Amino acid sequence: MNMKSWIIIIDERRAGGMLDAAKKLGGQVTAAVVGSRALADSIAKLGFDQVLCFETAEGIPAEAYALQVAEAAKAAAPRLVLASDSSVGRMLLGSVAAKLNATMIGAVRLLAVDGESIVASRSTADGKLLEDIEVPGALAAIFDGEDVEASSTKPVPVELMPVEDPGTTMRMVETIEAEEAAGLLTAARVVGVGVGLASKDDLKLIDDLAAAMHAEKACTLPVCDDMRWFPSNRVVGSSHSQIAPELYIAVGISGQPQHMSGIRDAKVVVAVNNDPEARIFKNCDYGILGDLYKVVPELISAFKNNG
Amino acid sequence: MAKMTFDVEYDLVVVGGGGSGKSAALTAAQAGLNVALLEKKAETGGSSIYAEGTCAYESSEQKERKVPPVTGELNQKHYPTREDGFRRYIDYSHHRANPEVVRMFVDNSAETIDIMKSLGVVYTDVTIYAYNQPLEVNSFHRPDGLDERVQELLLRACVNAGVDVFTSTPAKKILMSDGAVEGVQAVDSKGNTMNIGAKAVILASGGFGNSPEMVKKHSWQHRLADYNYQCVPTENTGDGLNMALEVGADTESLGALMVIPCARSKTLTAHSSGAGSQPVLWVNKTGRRFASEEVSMSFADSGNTMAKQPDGVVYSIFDADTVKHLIEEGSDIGLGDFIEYKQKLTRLQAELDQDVAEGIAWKGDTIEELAKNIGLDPAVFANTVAEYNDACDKGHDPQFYKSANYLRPVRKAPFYAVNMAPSILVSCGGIRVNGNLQVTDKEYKAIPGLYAVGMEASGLYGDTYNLDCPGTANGFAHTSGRVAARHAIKTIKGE
Amino acid sequence: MKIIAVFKWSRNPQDGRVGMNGTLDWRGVKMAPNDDDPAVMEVANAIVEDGEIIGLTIGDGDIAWAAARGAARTMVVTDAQTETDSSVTAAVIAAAIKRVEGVDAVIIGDSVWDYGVVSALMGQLGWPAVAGVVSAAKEQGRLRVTRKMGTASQVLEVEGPVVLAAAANREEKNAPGMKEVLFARKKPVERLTMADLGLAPAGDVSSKGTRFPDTPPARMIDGKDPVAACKELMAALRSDGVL
Repeated sequence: MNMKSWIIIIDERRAGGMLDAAKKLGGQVTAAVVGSRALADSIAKLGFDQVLCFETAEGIPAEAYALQVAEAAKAAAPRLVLASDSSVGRMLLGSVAAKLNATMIGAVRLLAVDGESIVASRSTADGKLLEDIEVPGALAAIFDGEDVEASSTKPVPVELMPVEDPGTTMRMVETIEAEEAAGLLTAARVVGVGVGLASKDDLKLIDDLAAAMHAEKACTLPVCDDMRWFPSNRVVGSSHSQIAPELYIAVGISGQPQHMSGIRDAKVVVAVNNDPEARIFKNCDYGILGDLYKVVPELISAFKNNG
Repeated sequence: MAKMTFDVEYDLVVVGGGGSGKSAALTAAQAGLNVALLEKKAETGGSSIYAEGTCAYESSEQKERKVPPVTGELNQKHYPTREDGFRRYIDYSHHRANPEVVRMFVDNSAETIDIMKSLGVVYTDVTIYAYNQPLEVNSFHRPDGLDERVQELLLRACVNAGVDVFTSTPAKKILMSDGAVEGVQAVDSKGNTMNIGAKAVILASGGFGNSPEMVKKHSWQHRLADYNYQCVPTENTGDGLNMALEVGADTESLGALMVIPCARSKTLTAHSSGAGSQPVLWVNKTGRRFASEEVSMSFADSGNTMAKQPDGVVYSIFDADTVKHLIEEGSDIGLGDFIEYKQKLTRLQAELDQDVAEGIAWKGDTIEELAKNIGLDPAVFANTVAEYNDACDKGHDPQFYKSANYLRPVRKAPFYAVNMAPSILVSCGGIRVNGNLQVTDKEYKAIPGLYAVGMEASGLYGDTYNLDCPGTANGFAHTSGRVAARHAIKTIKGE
Repeated sequence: MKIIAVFKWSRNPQDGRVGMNGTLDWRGVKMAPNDDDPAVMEVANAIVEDGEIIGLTIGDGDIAWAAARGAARTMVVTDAQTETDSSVTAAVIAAAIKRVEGVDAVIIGDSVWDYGVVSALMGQLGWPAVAGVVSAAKEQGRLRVTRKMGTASQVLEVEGPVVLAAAANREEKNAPGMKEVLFARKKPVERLTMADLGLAPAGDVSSKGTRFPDTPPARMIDGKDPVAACKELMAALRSDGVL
């Protein structure tokens, strides 16, 4: 049975996790790197059976190579194609799926083989459930499962793929770093503080974390109304601001419904709290159970070093 | 008169997007009616998002559970029956409740719980509100995520059922033709006046608790208009009552308010407010005690008690030992989920320091210094404290008979005073309705097509909100909305 | 420009009722605009100039949603729904798009509700495509789009016809009022069926049902060793693409 997999790679995100998931299906796993040669070289050390490199030209976005990647995929005819949920990866995956006439499934957490079929388990109902989907034919999946650290003692040689100049239909003009003062409502990162913080002087910790993360600061209603540590325009929750950052780090926030309704659309929610029963642990993506006074200083240095 | 031309016509228009309005809209839309819901605020939810639990009798949740251990004087061997509930409302109101409305509520409340469960609400508990409150019945169905979560689910259910929800769209006027409702005039979010035709209109705008003018005019607690502290940002300004009066509605038991004590300029979850709500030593502006502070067992009764004091000013006085007790051992009485029973008020010291610095609470190293800082007559206040400490030592309060277990002396410096204020949460009824929630005129005849539900409607209360049946406001909101909609459906469909 | 704004193509995942045994009940739940759909209309209105925005939706729910936000008319594939296989859903949308001549841009919400549909549609149309678009503008006849790349943003120039997946970075501003909503319901609607598009409701992909995940949705990290905890967190955040 053909269980050949292609993993579309535009950066290192989830590369190990996708490799691991595809390997478990039993077939040959190919990394199709669309990007720099250097990226392909580092991917080649992870343990793929084959690494192809579609080297992109300066100033041309990876998406411009979508049709060429799709043609190559069609020639190889993999049973499974994976990409991470980065916007570039998803677009390339769509192109390959169309060319292969493959089934497309998003938010896939797990993959398995059942007889002649692949069973993809995708996250549904707002992450509360997994749905098992039986796919008899070719499958293109956006992989959202656990990442795994991968490495191999025997790097494979990178195969440079012939790439044609994609022309000028798409070109990069500039990259703009996030403005520090994007404002709470549109900020990509937000640090939220609750009354788990013991005193106003400790807000220095939150200031430092926000600075290290290039984040805006927000707070719960009691922090504003009862402690008066922040003005009301920093309050997130019902009757106050609703925010949708990429990353929300909740420090010392218990997770009252009033507050949680304001961060419902945040992409990734991290909670730091020392109460294992804190409600927020039911409503976050990552929960660090521990003393915020010990955890936050480490978070600050972690973000300073590689955030 | 030429028939009015409408911008749009619906079967039913619901005015107000809180719990009662959404329940009405959902019921009608599920029955196939064409429904618009008008909400004047930018978000629906009304007072319901601040509600915690829901009152019901003989619900499936009560049937599935063991009766909680007896907590008070009442030996509750079973969950309250419909009959228990019925008697409670009639007795508590001194027969000012409308038996038809009470009957409607106790008979239909259990279905409310089942409907909420079908929407995805999970009840974590059926209990009382203030633990150890001897008079409460176990009617309080506590949803996971409190009523804020219930309102979210209800809104999604309304949208899915096809209700047209228009926010920032206040209703201004009920349109009448030949003595019957023919629609509503509203102003949309862009300022356009909209004439909306409707076969029935359900008023669900939450009463008049946030209108000082109407509190002054209608309530026996009219003085609150001058010194009420608004602790939640609701905007219940009596729109429904005013519109109903314009078209000939009559009132009944008008003027009851649900009043809760809250530290002035703080929230109900503030630990300083929680401490101030405890049965510690309370004095008013005269520097004297005025009641058994044990009244704090019922927030509604203690709200009324505070509202009666000069300028609504109450100082909750406690010493360093009591601060330590509240921080380390927790509260002596609970305030629902705002301040749970035995909740450790861990933020109390930080809040007190903050509040003292801001001038909204006071501190003194001596009783005299505290009196001076508050602005009380030091001699009178010192005498009050001395008498109170004496009562604490004897374990007997000869003045107001407060139970010995709440007699905590004020002896160890530093001493603190928290400024407690009465806060109107919502008004309790106003528009007279019959058992179908139809608004009735001066002749007690139903005005065709007009309904009032939730806190807009009279029928359950006398002069005060009944906290002995906790969750009543919320349970009644959902139940009355649904029952009104059912009557409207029947009438419109000619069944 | 002639723009097709694809809206309301899925149900709100928060609307599904989760049963005690891990079942998922969609009874009574209609298709809903997603959180990114307002951004679709914002981007469309920003680049349409003197052209036309055509709303395109599938299934039940509020057909006039896009019309209330600037679409001149709306197409709806009435008997289509969101399929398990996103390629099938995308094929329906793509087939409807292909009925319209001279389309310069297709814009769809880059919705986490179902990234699969967005990817599949981009692939099937085969046009230059950009996801994560937060804004767009026409400059000297050329289309410039800005997309999120983590905390930075990247400006691209794209030649049409193009597919853009628009991502909201805030709540909808200036939502239409009642009058606009009612007026929108009088705008033209073209009702199509799968048969009109030459499609059969199909797919050989089948759902075997839902279940609770073995691990809780939140990944708990023990903070006893703060250094290790932060290391684990940073690795996870990197995988999620938010660093």
